[in-house]
Amino acid sequence: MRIMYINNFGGGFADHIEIEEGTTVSKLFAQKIPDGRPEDYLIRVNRLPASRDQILKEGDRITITPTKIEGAAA
Amino acid sequence: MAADIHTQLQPIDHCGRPPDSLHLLIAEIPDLQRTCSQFRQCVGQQWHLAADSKRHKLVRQLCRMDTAISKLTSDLTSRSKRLPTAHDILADLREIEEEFGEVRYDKRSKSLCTTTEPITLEGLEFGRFTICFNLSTIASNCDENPLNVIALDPNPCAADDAVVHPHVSAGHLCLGDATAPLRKATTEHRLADAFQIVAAVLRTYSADSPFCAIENWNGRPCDDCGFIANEDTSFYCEPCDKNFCEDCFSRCRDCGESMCLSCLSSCEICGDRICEDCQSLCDGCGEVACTGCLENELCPSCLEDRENEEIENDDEEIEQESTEDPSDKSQEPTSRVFTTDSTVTSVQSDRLVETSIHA
Repeated sequence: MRIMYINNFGGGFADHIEIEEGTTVSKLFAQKIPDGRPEDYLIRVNRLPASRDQILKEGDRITITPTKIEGAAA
Repeated sequence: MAADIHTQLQPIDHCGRPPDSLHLLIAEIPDLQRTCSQFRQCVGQQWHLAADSKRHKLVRQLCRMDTAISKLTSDLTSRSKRLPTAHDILADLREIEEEFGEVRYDKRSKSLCTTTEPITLEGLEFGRFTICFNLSTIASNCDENPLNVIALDPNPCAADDAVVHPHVSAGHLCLGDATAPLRKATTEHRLADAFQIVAAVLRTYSADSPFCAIENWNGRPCDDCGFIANEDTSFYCEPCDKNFCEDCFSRCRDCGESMCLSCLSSCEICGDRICEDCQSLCDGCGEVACTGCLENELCPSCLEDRENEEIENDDEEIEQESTEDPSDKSQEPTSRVFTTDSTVTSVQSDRLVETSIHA
């Protein structure tokens, strides 16, 4: 099954990926950001806030954006 | 609005310039041709060492070309990537509106803006911020910064009015960890993601590298070294009417009054800080000293010199006394004659010298 996965963290990633049927939001999150805590991220599926146990469907667009990102000085 | 933005975002191909990697690649070709020709010639003439050298050179040039080709492929692929449609832009605008409560497009400045909630970091309020992206800059895909961050309820750092957030100075947000994902989001025209990334930076305090640290936000700049001292470590110097940090502030060792280092002098003997009222000058050398280091208004060095001088004077007196024999009658007329006849005195003195030499 193919979905659009956007990770607005690290180097940034936005592309189509293959996932297994029945993959939930929390399972994908654990695969992609194993050291992260879901509560520290804004997770949207098809631009809508998603619950952890929401099952992803073919063609879905999932966006994971950290709620806090460290800035710097010049 | 979405249609306008979609039109505005139509790519201006790298500001009208071909990618730099293409120039790199083209620049390698004449060199490669020359090396190839030389290599063939060396092989034909059976100049084995020279041929080996040219072969190595060819390998290096091909490696450089390989890198240039990869970069060029990557550049051109990213350009050909599907950019959002007007429908996608509309969905982005709705997402921004849902997340931030509003979204505005200024046709004249070609800026898309939204406003954050009031930002509070470590208990300090910085107010709301307007986040604006210049769509022309995004479309040009240049290195120019498309982002502008404006404080709506500015609470600037005491040291610098331009710093309105630990990571915002003069409208410039220093992105830190958000640099790469924001660059990717703007390149791919994912507007909602771009706004969310910027908001995430504004909602975070990174103590490692702020324009102004939160603990010093309301502090005062030291008039001497410029360090921003907080309320607990900033001190007021009454004589010069300025504020100083703890490193540039001290107290007089004698009277205990606190002042900046410029208003205090150093005792040149013990090095302690002393105020103008408590400082004394050595009567001998004129050096500034604290009262504790002066004895009889002299510094230790001058005191020692004076003592040595006195000892020398005493020695001379003793020596003089020892050379003057009280039983020598010749002295008596001198004193007597001294008051009466200078000529005789002179004669008597000559006799005295002779006596001394003989002794």
